[in-house]
Amino acid sequence: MENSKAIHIDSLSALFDGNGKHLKVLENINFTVSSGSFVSIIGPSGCGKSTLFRLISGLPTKDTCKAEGKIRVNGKKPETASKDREIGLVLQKPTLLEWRTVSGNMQLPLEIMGYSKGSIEKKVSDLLKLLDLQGYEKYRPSELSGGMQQKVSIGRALAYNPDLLLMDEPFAALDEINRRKMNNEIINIWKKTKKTILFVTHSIEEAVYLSQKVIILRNKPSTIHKIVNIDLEYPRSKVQNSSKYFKYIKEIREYLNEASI
Amino acid sequence: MTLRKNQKLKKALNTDFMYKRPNRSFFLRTFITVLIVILVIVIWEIVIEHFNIPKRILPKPSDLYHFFQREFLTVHSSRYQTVLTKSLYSFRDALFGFSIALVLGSILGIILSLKRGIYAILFPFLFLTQLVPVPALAPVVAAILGYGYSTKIFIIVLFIIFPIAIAVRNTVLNIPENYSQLLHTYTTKKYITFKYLVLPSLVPTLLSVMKIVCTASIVATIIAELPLSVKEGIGKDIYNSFNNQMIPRVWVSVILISIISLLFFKALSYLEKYITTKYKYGEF
Repeated sequence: MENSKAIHIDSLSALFDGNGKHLKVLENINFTVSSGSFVSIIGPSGCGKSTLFRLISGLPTKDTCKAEGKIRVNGKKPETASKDREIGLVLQKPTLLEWRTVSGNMQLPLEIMGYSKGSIEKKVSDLLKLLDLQGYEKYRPSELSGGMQQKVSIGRALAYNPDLLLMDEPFAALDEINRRKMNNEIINIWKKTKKTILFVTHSIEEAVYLSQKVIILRNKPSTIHKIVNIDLEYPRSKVQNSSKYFKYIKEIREYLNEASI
Repeated sequence: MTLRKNQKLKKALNTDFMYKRPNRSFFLRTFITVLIVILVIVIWEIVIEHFNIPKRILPKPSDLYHFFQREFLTVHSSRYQTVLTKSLYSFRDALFGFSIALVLGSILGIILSLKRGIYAILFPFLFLTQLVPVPALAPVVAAILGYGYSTKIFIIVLFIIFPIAIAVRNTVLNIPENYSQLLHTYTTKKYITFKYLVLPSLVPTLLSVMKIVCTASIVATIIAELPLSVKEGIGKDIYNSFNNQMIPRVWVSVILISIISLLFFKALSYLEKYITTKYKYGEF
């Protein structure tokens, strides 16, 4: 399982066709993500990151979006993998229900999926421990900082133990200090849970800090420009001032500049 | 006995209520309101007395008091339905129609939010109910459905269902898309999304709209009673009293039903405040 493909995308193209618009958003996308790896996707605005994210997550796309090609998550179609609870989603906004407490939000998918009360309590208690949120069980989302809200959202995604965690710019709204804190937290979670993580980001530094592989998308046509393997040891906090680390940042920045033209 | 009283007083002093006592501005506001009411009553009495305005146009507050005394404070008061009893009957019917409208309006609002086509078909009919005033509509409905109780309730529902349905539809359509997406990753069953997301989102809207339509339901009840053959209800009584030139009775009835409407509105305001502060339903 260690080296099997968690995500396999083959010749994927997508276009918006309808309402007088004909816009190709993705063209001939091919990549794989091995099980247990941490991969980031980065690209200029409007390069189709969100469409790609939606297609992989099995979320319904707009009626005008037509996709061709093959997407497999753990060897299944994304819709099937989603139904089989193999995909956990963390969105840009924490998307927490204000009328539920921290525990209540983490319980939500488990309640919906029909887990027993005892099992829900055990899982939530384990998650609170994993995410270092003990003592905040009864807090409402609005009483937490942005970083903590996002932690609850990660906890909710992990609650039903999916193999794959899809994260769409989850720390985009955080300040630099909290973002780095959350980066370290997500690496710890990844190391402990051994989940596959596909992380969409706008930040080159974040992509290098977190990932084993960075996929750079380009605009016009929206396709893969480069895939960069990040050969740096974890924890990255130890190597973040090394020349090799900055070399990766510089390399990706140059690729991104080419991709934005 | 005195010791017991003292103990009771001590107990009362230790309750949380004492720590949450209303502030000075509350007493000041209440005092000013009472003062204004007294002042209006006094001016009202003086003006009518001074200008000799006939009772059939505007009765004096003392006339209203005399009627009040006759209606409620004599030995015969318990033998017939007072204007208060009739007002409470009207309130009961208003509450019943209000509850039905709330349920049906919510269901209708949800149906209207499902597809744009459904909205396009149903909206003109719904809007039509708002174009025709209730006094004009009531006899028409009565001619079709009869002059009984069900017609009365039907008219109340018809009068207040429109804002409920529209508010519910708009709330459902304005639920942020990312929440629906999130729920979609947990389940594709629509009723589960409805239970966990749509229903809690509707709570603040329904509480607000309840405040808007609560007084309208009482207005609709009174108007609906006029052409119908229902015996209970203050609307019919106001109409008959007016025809018999019992003007103080009309005035006391109007004041009573206004107080009931105000209390209804206040009760719903407190309910809204309590639920929105405690449960934070519908906040994203």
